[in-house]
Amino acid sequence: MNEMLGNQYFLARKYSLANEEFEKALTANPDNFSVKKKLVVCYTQIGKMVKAKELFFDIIRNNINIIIDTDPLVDDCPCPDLIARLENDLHVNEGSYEYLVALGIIWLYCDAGNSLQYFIEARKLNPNDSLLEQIVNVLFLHQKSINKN
Amino acid sequence: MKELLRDKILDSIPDGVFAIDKDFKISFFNSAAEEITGFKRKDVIGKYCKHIFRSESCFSDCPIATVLRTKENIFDQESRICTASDDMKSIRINASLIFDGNSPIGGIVTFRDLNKFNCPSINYHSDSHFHGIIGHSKQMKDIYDLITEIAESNAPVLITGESGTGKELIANAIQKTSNRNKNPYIKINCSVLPANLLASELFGHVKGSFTDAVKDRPGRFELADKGTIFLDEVAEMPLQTQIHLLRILQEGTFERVGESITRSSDVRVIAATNIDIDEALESGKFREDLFYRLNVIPIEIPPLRQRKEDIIPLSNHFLKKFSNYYKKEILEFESGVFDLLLNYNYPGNIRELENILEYAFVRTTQGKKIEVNKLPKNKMPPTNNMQDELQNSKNNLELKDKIELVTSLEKNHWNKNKTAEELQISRTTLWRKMKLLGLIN
Repeated sequence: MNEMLGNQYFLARKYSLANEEFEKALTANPDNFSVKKKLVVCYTQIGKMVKAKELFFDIIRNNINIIIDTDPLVDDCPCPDLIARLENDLHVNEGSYEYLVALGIIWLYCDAGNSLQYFIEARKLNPNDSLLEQIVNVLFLHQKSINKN
Repeated sequence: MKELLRDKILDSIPDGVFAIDKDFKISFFNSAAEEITGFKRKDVIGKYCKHIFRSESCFSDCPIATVLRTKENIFDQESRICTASDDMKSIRINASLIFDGNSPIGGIVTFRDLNKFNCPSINYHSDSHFHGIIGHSKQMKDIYDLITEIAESNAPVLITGESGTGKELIANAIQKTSNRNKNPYIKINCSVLPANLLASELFGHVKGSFTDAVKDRPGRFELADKGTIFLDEVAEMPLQTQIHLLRILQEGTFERVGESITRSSDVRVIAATNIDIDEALESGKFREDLFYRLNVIPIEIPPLRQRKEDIIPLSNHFLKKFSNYYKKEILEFESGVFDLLLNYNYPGNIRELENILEYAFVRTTQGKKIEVNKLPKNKMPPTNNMQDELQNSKNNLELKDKIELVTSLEKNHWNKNKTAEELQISRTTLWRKMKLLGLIN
């Protein structure tokens, strides 16, 4: 029940309700990456940035393509809209660390290069965040492999 | 092969049917769905249903989400969808889930084009109908009189009655006869939305007032300004929202969620509930002050079992409706059918009668009459001595008189001269009989 209801809330852009359902679905099936992928977006929208970072790292270290292969049109991904809103808010909030991390996460659903740039910006503001460091490393390796090919 | 047969069966029915997977992508779309929406099957399979139907319900009260949340199937929920040619179309939907074991793996929705289903060939303003409501019983006539009397009023109305008695039709009739009938008429089912979203739906919200509020949005009360709002299942409203409703009834003012600006709206409120109000008041589920505010004009719709004389006109109406919808002319009943219909108690009221007749109608593949043996046997087992039972009971005799009289009146479109002629009685005797049986005041 929870995953399907979460999916509907996610489509209706009700992130806090979707978050509740997805968390329950994940408790029942901790390896459900389809749920994880959407739950990360929910976390960024309801301000649970620590959880967002942890879950994001969990996904990308397992298989970064789960997020990178997202097709914004086919998958009804809200990220292009969210990016527009977050970048506007970032401008207002003058480069806040939280916004930079959120943008780094959300950009990976659309463009890995931009995602890495935002995480690098965030690292400058908080160089002691070890989880952020690990995220940057995974993204950097990914970019490197793309450039090599 | 099995799938082919399933598709053939689903393509042969006149209701639109579509199925979705657990991601809400369309996995099945039958021929009637193509006809109603204007979309071709090949163009919708694999697409998100919200991208095809573009209904407001997709974002507020998605029927499948409601089934998932309440664990109860949806019956006869009205909605509006956008067709392939971008027109809005009113539909009536049923929704349920598809399970694999205990887990839902999708949902199935059947839907009807309301314009087509509300048989345009039926004259809703003829003698036998009151703004689309069928029934000549004294109880219903009293309600029609009351609706006519309150046409000039803006006072709140509280409609009570069991499920399936037609509370929404009464609300529609009140709106149609009121001075506000040219202004917005907005309906909302208070039980369908999660508690935390209902206040935002009713009163609106401003950007940032809660996580998902990404832009300012007016609520239904704002949109219904100068018009009417119908709050179905009002007693299901959370107590906190009841306070806001009370305020708008008392002062006509409210605030959008997350905003301190006081706004006003001139809205006539019609509310309905099928629950036991006394019990809800006693248990504290429904605020007493709100009840008294809403209950200025109370309308209690009697269950169908208490107005059995309405069964015949209703049955005839449904037969016309199904004939039109299924494009199959069956406009009569075999003798004995009414006996069975009249002896049943209808816990589901008019909706149940409609379902019983649709079942019999669909099963009638030969002939032009609904036969006794086509009625659902679990509800109406045929008995050999039914006729005798009827004749032995004083009450049933009166009912039989009523059936004969109403049938003849219906046949003659309530023309009293023609009816008297057919029954071979004088016009005065007809009038006396109608008065005695409560068919006129």
